[in-house]
Amino acid sequence: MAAVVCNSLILSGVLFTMGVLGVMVHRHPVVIFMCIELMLNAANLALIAFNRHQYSENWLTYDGQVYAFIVIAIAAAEVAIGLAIIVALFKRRTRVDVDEINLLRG
Amino acid sequence: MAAVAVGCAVAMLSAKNPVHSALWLVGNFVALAVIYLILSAPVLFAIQMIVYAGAIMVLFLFVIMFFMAPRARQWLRPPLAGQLTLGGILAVVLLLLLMWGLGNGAIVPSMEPEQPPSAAAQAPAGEEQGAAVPPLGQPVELGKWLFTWQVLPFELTSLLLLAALLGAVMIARDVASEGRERGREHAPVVHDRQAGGEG
Repeated sequence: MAAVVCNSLILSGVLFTMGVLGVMVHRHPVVIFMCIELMLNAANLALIAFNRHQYSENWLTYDGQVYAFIVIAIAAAEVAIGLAIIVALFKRRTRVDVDEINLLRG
Repeated sequence: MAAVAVGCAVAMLSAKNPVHSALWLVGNFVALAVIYLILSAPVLFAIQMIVYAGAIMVLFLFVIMFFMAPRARQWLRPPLAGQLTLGGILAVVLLLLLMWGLGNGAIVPSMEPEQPPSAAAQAPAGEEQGAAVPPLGQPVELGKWLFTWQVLPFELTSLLLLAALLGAVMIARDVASEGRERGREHAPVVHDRQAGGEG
C-alpha cells in the first residue's frame, strides 16, 4: 500500500478516535455534534484513501469519492436536524446538558 | 497536514468555549480538505471547503451565537467524575483496535489482490500501463461515474436532503409558532378587556 494511503488511514483512525473521545467526554450538545462531524470526516478520509488505493492498483473507480460525497450530504442533513433539535431545546430551557435531557425516558 | 489536522482536533476537544471549538474544527476541515487534494480528489476538496468549512460551520456558529447566552458559552459543568479517564481509556482501546485492524488489513490486501488487478489490468495493459489508466480525480470523470453507476444513491440522497430540510423546519418551527399563536391569542383578549373597561 502506498505510503500516502497508509498514512491517511492512520490519520483517519486517529481522528475517528478523537471524535469518539469527544462524544464520550463532552456534555455540550453542540460540541458533541462537532465531534460527530469529526468522525464523519475521518470516515470520508478513509473512503477517499481507499479509492486512491484502488487507483494505485490500476483499478479506476470513483466509488469511494462518490460515497464520500454522499456522506457529506448526509452529514449536512444530520447537522440540520440535530441543530434544529438543539434550537428547540434552547427555546424551551436555558441550560442545555445532555445529561439533563431525559424527557424521552419512559 | 496530518499534524495540523490532529492538532486542530486536539485543540477542539480541549477548548473550553464552543466558539473556539468550532473555529478549531474549521482548521481541521481545511487540513482534511488539503489531504483530499493530496489523495487526488479535487472535487471533494471543493465540496469539503464549501459544505463543511462554509455551510456547516456557519450553522454551528449561528446556533452558538444566537441561542446561547454569553455566559453559557462554556463547559456547562466539569465532566462527571471519572468520565474523562474512562473515556480516555476507551478511546485508547478503540485506537489500538483500529490500528490493529489496519495492520492486519494492510498485510492482507497486499498479498491477495496481486492477481485480480493484474488480471484486470491485462486487458487495457495491451497498450501502455500509464496511458491505459487515466489520471484519478478529474471532475468530468467523477461526474460521469456519479451519474452512470451511482444514480440511485444520488437520487436517494436528494430525497433524504429534502426530508431533512422539511424535518428541520418543522422541528425548529414548532415551539416558535406556538408562542406566536399564544401571543396573538392573548393580545386581542387584552384589547377586548381594555375596550370593555373603557366602554
